[in-house]
Amino acid sequence: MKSLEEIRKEALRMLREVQTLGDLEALELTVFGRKQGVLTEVLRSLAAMKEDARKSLGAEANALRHDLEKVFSEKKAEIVRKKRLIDLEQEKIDTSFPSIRREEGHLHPLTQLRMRVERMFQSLGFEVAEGPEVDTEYYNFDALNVPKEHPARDMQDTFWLTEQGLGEKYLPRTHTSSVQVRYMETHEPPFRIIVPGKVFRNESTDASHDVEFWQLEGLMVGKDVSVANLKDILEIFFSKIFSTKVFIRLRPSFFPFTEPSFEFDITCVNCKGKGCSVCKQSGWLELGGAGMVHQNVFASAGYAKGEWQGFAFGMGLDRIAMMKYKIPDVRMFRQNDIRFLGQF
Amino acid sequence: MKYSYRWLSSLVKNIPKPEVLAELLTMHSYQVESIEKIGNDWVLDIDVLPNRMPDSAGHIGVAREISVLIKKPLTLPKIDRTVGMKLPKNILSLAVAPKGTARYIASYIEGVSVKDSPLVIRERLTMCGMRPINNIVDATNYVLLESGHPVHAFDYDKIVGKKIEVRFAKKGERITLLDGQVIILMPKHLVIADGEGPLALAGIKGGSRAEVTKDTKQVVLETAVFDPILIRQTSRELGITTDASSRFVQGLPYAELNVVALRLRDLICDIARGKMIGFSDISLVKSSKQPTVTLRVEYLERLLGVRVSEKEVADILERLGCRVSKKKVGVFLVTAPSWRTDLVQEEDLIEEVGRIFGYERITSKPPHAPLVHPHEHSRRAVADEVGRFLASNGFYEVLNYSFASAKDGDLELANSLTTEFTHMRASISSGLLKSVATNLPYERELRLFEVGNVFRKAKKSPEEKVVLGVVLTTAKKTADLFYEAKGTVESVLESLGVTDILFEDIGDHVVEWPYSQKKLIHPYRSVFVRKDNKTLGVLYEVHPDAELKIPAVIIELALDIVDIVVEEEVAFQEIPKYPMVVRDLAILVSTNDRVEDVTSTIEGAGGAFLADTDLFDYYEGDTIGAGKKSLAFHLIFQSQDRTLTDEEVVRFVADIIAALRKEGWEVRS
Repeated sequence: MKSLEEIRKEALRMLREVQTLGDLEALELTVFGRKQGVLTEVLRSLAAMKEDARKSLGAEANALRHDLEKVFSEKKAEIVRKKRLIDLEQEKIDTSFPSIRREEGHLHPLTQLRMRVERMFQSLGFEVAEGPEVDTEYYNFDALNVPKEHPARDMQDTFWLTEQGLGEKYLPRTHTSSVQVRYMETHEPPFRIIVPGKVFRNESTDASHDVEFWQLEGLMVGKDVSVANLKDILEIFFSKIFSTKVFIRLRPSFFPFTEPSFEFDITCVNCKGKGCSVCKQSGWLELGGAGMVHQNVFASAGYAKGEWQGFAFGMGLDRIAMMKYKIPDVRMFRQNDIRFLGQF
Repeated sequence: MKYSYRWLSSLVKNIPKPEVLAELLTMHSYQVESIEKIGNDWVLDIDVLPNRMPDSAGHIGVAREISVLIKKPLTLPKIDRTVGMKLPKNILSLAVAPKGTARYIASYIEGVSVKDSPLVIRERLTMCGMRPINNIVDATNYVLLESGHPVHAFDYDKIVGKKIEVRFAKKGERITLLDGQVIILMPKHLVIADGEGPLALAGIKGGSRAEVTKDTKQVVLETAVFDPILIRQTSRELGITTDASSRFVQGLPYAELNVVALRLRDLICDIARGKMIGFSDISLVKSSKQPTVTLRVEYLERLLGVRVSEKEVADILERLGCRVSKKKVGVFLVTAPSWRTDLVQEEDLIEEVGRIFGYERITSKPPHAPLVHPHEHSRRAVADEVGRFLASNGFYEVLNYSFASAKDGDLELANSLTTEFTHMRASISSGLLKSVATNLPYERELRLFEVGNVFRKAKKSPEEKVVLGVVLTTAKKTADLFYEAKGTVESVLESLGVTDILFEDIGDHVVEWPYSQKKLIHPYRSVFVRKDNKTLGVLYEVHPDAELKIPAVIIELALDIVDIVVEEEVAFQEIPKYPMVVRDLAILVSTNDRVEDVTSTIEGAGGAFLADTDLFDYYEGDTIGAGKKSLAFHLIFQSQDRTLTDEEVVRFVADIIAALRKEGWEVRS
């Protein structure tokens, strides 16, 4: 019969050679087997021993049994772990294969911009208002202090509808400013609104002009709304839209419906105002027109003159989208080529 | 308009370098579009704003503006103010019609010698884009460029009957213009005429009959202001725009018109060695005194959002030539100079102070405003919701022009540019079909949509509605495309919370605007989309007559109607606690029978526990014989409060089978 020490050494030596769960099972039989297990044999021999020898050897044998069971179970866990890893390796895939994607659609880039613009202004408390795309001469021109026969009507070349069967002169609106008096007729200041909408111009088209485009109108009226406030709102807006700090520059201009009137520029978002080919080295980009609402426009809406003051601004969304996405030709927005639309 | 830098520098001292000057004018007055160096001079192309044309359409005006900005004095040409006698009747009688003319000055100069002008005049004209002709014509153009005021010279010896009349043309009168163009005149056209007929088209262009030539010895000089609206109408109607008309249409000041006339006389007497004999000045409009405007500094500061001292306000206005007097603390009485006819109200003066003060000195300030919750327009929200839903389900949004050709439009444009765009579009489909055609070379399985307004002529006014249009195409004709579109309608509406919609065959029914015309609609593959007796839209395969190269199905939904039926609230329904029981049933019906009828028979007979009826298979073919189709359904039974027993379900199915057989349909195991 082998000594406990011999059993321990022998068992640990053999355990090191074990590779599979089958090997481990066989070894377990050799050590713990009820019939031939070497350790079982020792335990069985205890019965024939004197009490104190039995006691001490018994305790040692049980300790050995305990130790061996522990290392055997650790070995078993290790084998299972290795086997799992081998199995998983069988499932190895080429992760560089092309992805499988659900067919996705696209919102038009102008819609995406419009939605973003609306969210932005709504967060500043502006309401999104709208009006008809075909409007009367009154709302498009007369109510905005554009005198009849005044050359200002030439500044925006206008499509007109044939007058057959219509009560008055109608036109596809030349600007979203047509909504100003319509809104004011049914609302009392203070208020702030934006009007995103389609506008129409009767002019020959090129890379930066089209007969139809989206415009964004802004109108804020209160007791002390000022040019300084206009600058602030435009700065916040453009800084968000172009995700960079943008400054506003106002230049003198003329519109019949505002006094004072401005053209507004923003610092070139391409060169941050240093001067580049995009801004023709000026550091500034022309963005739109603005001004302080003419008191005659308030009068058209039925407000008492001198009672209210406010700013209005207008800009082309197509132009902003062109700058934002570096689109070279405005007409691409309405060609509807899916190879274009799919990029946004 | 073109301005010579050297000419400007002769009028105002210490003028900045061209680039600096351009920046200064652009930031404070009007935009300098370009600077071009020619020889030892620079040409500034200035986009003078419409309201500044009356004062800045000439070099003196721009020089005056520069002198205001740089605070340096203006040097004006010296003018001999002696007028002498009126035009003697025996030389020239002058008559001006009471309408159409504000002021008319004619002077007679004899003994001119026509030759080339001095070099400096020829150079300046050339810089400003004018061709030197002879000293008389050049003098008129020079005065135009200097003062901004158009003037004209007639050859006196060619004037018939020693008389000049400013009058409206007689019907059918003719005039041959300087460029040879012959115009047949109407009584609405204002002309300068002699005893024989028209000599010039007032404010627009001279005629060739009294043209100054090298043989001219005596001239009549005209300095006038005509009615801007009249000039504008004539110029637009005849399609003639000249250096003169583009200034007259803006409404020129006439308070100091005599100064312009005398400057012209001086120049001609100087360079053509003539002598003035008579000078007649006829005013038809009463005093053109400038109004006195009250300016409150407090309002100025409130409108601009910046502090400006009273001293600076007064200083700026005085530099501009205004008469400024202080009414009380913070209030000025201001009278604009004669050349600034555009300054008539308080805001006009605020703009003047603001731009000279410098808009760059106004710093951004957040507005004070009540914390309001912006009202949300529900139809707009519905449109955006639908767009987002479709885009996340594989559809591409397109954007077509709102214009269409005559066959797709009802509202007609009076002045369209092309034959393609003569009307406002009456339906959303015309653009969608165009978008399909655009993309067919690259893709045959198109899924496109557009949200936009469509237009028609209603009673006495146009009408417009917002429509969602969706188009689906496929390479091979199949009914599945229709069903996919039907599913699209259902899921779009469901995403808005609209359920229980009905599809009804269009058949012989009338299809009304805002939907497409019936000729575009396949008569046997088309339905109305309805909810509670409201028509939300139409769904149809495109009629083969439309000659689209590919099968297409279109959906059109009127979004304002959809908006009405949208329910904001979705109520929770309890998730079933007990298992469902599924039984399958195959039914053989005639090909003309409608699935809807079979389903409703099943649901009518299935009892309260039949939770759903699902068509999962469909077959048509030889094995079941011609004229027949086989429909296979999942029948789903479900109770909310117990587990259904097998016996119960067998009984429910038996009831269903009995009902189906009663309709004459064969039920297969």
